[in-house]
Amino acid sequence: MHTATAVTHPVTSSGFFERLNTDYHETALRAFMVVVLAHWVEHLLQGLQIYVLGWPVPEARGALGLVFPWLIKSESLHYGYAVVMLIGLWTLRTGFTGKMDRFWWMTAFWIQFFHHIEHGILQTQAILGQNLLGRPVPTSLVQLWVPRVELHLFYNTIVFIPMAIAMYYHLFPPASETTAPRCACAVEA
Amino acid sequence: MAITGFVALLLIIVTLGWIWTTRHQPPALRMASHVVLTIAALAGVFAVAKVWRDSPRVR
Repeated sequence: MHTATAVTHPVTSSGFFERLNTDYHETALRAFMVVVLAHWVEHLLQGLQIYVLGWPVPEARGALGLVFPWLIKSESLHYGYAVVMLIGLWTLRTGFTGKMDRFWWMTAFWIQFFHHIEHGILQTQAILGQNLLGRPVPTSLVQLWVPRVELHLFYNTIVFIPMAIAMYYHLFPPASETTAPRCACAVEA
Repeated sequence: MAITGFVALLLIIVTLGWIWTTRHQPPALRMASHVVLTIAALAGVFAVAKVWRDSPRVR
C-alpha cells in the first residue's frame, strides 16, 4: 500500500529524499557544495583581512559582513548555517553507498554534529543575554581555550576534509568497492 | 586537483595565521591557536596524500 502510494505520488517526503539520493544526488551535492564553498570564501576572506591586511578582528567580517555587519554579528546566521550543514550531510548520506565514501561522509556528519552543538551553545547565550562564565561575548566550550577565528578555521577544515574525501571516493570508487551505486555521480575511468 | 588546490590555499592561510597569532596573541591563546592551525594543516595534507595515493590517474 505504502509502495503503491509512493509510486503514484512521487512528491511524498520519502519519495523526495529518495530521489535526492538517486536521480538528483549529483545535482544536490553540487548545490550543497556551492553553499559550503561560499561559506569557506567568507572564512578565507576573514583570514586574509586579519592576517594579511591587519584589520582588527571585530572589523574583519568577510564579504557579507562588510555589506551587512549586523548579519555577521548575529549568532543566528552562524547557527543557521551549522543546521543547514547538518541537514545537508544527513539528507544526502544514503546516496553514499560504498564503504569508503559512506565512512568519510558520516565522519564529517558527526564532527559537524559537535560543531552544531557549539553553535547551539553560542545561540543560547545570545538568546538569554547571558554569556558562559561571565565572558563579555557568547563563548563556546572549545572557545574557552581557542580564539574564535582560528577555532572556526579549524572546525570548517575538519568538517570539510572528510566531506571532500567522501566525495572523491564517491566520484572515483576504489576497485575494492563492491556495493552498487544508487546514483550516477561516479565518473567513468 | 580541486582538493589539492583547496589544501594549498588552506596551507597558505594556516601559515599566515601561524605568523599573525605568534605576533599578536598572548602565549596561552597563541599555543591554542597553533595547535588547531597545525591540526587543520595536517588534515589537509592527509586528504591530499590519501586522494593522490588512491588516485587511478592524475587528478
